[in-house]
Amino acid sequence: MAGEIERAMKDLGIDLPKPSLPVANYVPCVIAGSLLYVSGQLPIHNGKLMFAGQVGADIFVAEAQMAARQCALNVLAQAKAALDGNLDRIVGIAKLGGFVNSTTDFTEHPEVVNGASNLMVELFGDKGKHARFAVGVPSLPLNASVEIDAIIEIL
Amino acid sequence: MAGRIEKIMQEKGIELPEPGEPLGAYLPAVIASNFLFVSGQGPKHHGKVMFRGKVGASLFIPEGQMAARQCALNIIAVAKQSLDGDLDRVLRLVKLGGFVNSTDDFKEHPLVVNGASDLMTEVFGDNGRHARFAVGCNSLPGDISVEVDAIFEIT
Repeated sequence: MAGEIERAMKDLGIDLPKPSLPVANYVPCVIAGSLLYVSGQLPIHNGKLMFAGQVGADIFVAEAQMAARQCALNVLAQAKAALDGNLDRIVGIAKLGGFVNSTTDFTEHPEVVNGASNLMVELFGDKGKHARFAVGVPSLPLNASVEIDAIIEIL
Repeated sequence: MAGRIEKIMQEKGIELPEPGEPLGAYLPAVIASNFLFVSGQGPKHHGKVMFRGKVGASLFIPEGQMAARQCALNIIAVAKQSLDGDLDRVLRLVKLGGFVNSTDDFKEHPLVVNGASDLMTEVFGDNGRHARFAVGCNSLPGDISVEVDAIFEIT
């Protein structure tokens, strides 16, 4: 459905990936009331994990930001599937959770997670402005460098 | 505005710090549905970080608890700002997320995060009793010792 958000994505040259399947016994999204909860997404593109490894050792901030952006694209791909293809049902991005697979002396988690935050604001404008946390973790599934989950307000 | 919560804080000598600025393209808090989502807050006092380093190495449980309490004070300061100064609009604190920058063998995360939980029940009474998680992280933004985020139910 060629809605407002679809047009914005076209203008920005953004192609949403195919939503990936959960890696365990859970569902990609749950709608509860007027909130859509999206499970943690990894930086997967066309079935391939991009930018694997630990930030501050195997990769650094610039690549990790691209990983975070890819996570955000996957969040939107899952949301689109849960909303029967209609991203215009999104009232706003309420919250992002940003987990960075990092070394123990890494301190620039906010810069990394900005890769996801910036995408949301690029696409949704004011509706994309969200609350968030950004933290460092010693490991992530499949040795991903970043994992992002989301809570989205919907119609 | 001398509301009920303001009076309680006054009686207990609890002073809220100035909320700091977000470290990226996100907001200190977002209202979505009947919830207020507050971004992860660090142990800052008027914008200055009070506790850095790993709990279990650079600092121990008592300072960790003070750090968590300081995070909670910032959460309330941000909530007040988001609610146009009226903390009486808080129906209840629903959930806290507690992240402790800790050593690999640290186990007392719940004790540390109690520093935040206790403050919330001090201020909000029964309405301050909440669900939560408490986990260890191997690193946090700017090497802060504790980060806490929150979800409030509001009117």
